[in-house]
Amino acid sequence: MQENVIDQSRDVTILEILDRVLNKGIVLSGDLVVSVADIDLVYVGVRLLLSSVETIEQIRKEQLEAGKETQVSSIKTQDHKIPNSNKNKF
Amino acid sequence: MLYSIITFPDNPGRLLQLPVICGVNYSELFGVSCNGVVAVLEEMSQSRVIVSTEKAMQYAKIIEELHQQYDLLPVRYGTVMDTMETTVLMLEKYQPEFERNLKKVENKEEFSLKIFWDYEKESEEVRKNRYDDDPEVVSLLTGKTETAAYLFKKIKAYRFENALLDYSEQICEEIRMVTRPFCPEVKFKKILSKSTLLEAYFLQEKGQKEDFISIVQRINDQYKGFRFLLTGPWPPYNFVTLDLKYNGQQ
Repeated sequence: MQENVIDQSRDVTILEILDRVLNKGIVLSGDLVVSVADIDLVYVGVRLLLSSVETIEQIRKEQLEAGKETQVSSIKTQDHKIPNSNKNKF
Repeated sequence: MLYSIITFPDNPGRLLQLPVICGVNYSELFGVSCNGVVAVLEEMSQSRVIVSTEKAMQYAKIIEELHQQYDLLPVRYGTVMDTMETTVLMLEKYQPEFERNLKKVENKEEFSLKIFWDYEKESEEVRKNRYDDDPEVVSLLTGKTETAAYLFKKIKAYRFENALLDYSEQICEEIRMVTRPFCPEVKFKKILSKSTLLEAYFLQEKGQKEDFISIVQRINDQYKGFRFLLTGPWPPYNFVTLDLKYNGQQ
């Protein structure tokens, strides 16, 4: 397999996608906006998945050395309540 | 839930019917318009934003679908507006910022390039070929006091770091020059870690994917010691840097 690889397809890691929707884009906050944009603070579970590429590389290296397969644990779903929850929100 | 900001200048009314796309809460998306700037929303009948990998991935897919049809500014996942009136007031307040950013990303998409390196090996190369001890500093500080030795060590480390940064800047400059015909805007994050040399984000016109990949392949061929990860096209997540605060009093 070629040592230097360009991934030309859109099949990217979950990390790349989650990094964008959780860390990038417009951030809107305020009294009349409820945002879980600070998701890295309130939801540690997702942050564990959003480990840096370096960490993933390190894990991969360790796996190769140990000759084992990694089992990535599934992320638990967590609900966040919005205040004034009687009204419909948008 | 607020998904994105798009432009739709000819919409006569306040509400905009969008092509049928279901949101993460299984309701159809719709638009709320204000002077041609539209907030894409989904009504939420529940009081909770479910935070999970699946929902976030679903959200990303919806943003992709919208981006195929509209120029858009993606909003971070989990943003919920209190009422429609709030949304309209927010659109009015930030209309200039939204319009400016929408113009920037008009008919454009993003690509991302990560370059991985062997830090130890490349540092050694930089040390051998791109770094010299300043003779004046050497003569001033070596073989003297402990303080001088400590200072010399610190200066060496500082100068070496600068040599490494110069090296990464050289690579960035080459990438910038080669991609300039395609990409009006490029952003770099340099020497992130011992495994990642840099990340680059490119904003380019839609439909130039194949040409762009060839160019990146050429750069990759030039730097055979590095590993490249090119991904895209993406909606322009990294080219929308709006951090907006809003409350009903404003």
